[in-house]
Amino acid sequence: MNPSHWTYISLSYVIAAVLVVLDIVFTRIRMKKLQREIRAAGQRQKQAKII
Amino acid sequence: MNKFWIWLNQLGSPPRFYAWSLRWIKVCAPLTLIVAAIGLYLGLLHAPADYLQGESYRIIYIHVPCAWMSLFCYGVMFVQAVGALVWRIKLCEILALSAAPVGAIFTFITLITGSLWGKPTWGTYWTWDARLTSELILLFIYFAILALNYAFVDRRQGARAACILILIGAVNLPIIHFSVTWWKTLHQGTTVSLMGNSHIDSSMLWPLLIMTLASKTYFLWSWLARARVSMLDNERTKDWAKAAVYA
Repeated sequence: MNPSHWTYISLSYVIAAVLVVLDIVFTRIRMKKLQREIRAAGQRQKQAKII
Repeated sequence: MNKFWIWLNQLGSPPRFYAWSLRWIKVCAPLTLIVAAIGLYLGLLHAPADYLQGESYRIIYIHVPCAWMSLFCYGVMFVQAVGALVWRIKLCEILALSAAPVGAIFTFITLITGSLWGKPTWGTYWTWDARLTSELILLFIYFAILALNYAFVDRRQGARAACILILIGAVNLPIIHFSVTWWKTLHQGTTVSLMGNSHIDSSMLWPLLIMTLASKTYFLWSWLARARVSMLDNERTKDWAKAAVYA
């Protein structure tokens, strides 16, 4: 049985949507991780000054 | 120096760009969702079926905007790479390389959706047609730019090498654009033209233009978000970066 036209259409849009969402989510995760690292480095610097 | 050049010059400062880009991301993110929702509604539910291709032509509402964006992205990268290599502007380097993953995503979606449209229309997922092959080469160029950027220990050296590759790879852009006129291809010729007549009914054209707008705002959103990450990463030891994180 051949897949219907709507199977190809939905597959196209689902693949595109997944890639776009992954792109946005991964960029956001990278930003949050980087901000955490910078904050942690700041804390370490503060503690080193106290000691 | 007029006001525009002063503004552009000031924008090159990392803290200013970091704040400015966030304002644009806040505009582009909801705009993308709203415009894409309208475009999808019109393209998938409202536009009539094609008399020859039936329903499968609706794939164009994702395929064509992504194909246009795959070239547009490269054009943006080319301009930024010139700025980075000629004037050594650090922001241009970041912007050129931040656009590469977004361009690769657009190219990948173009190839996949083109394949899924080709099966019901041409009877095959893939053929070594000039348009398809040159678009595949574009994807490989995007991958090569990304790989070269990370291939050096010195980040700026890697960025400069990647910028040179961007300039070399630009040769492929006219090949992709004119492939359907230079060679006899299975891929159809130009349907929508900015300068001449478009061979598409307005009921089908409008959803396409709206989806194109959505792809542009998504590009801006993703591009600026990636550039902000790269900029913060490069400047993580600077005071402004620490202040921006704590703000």
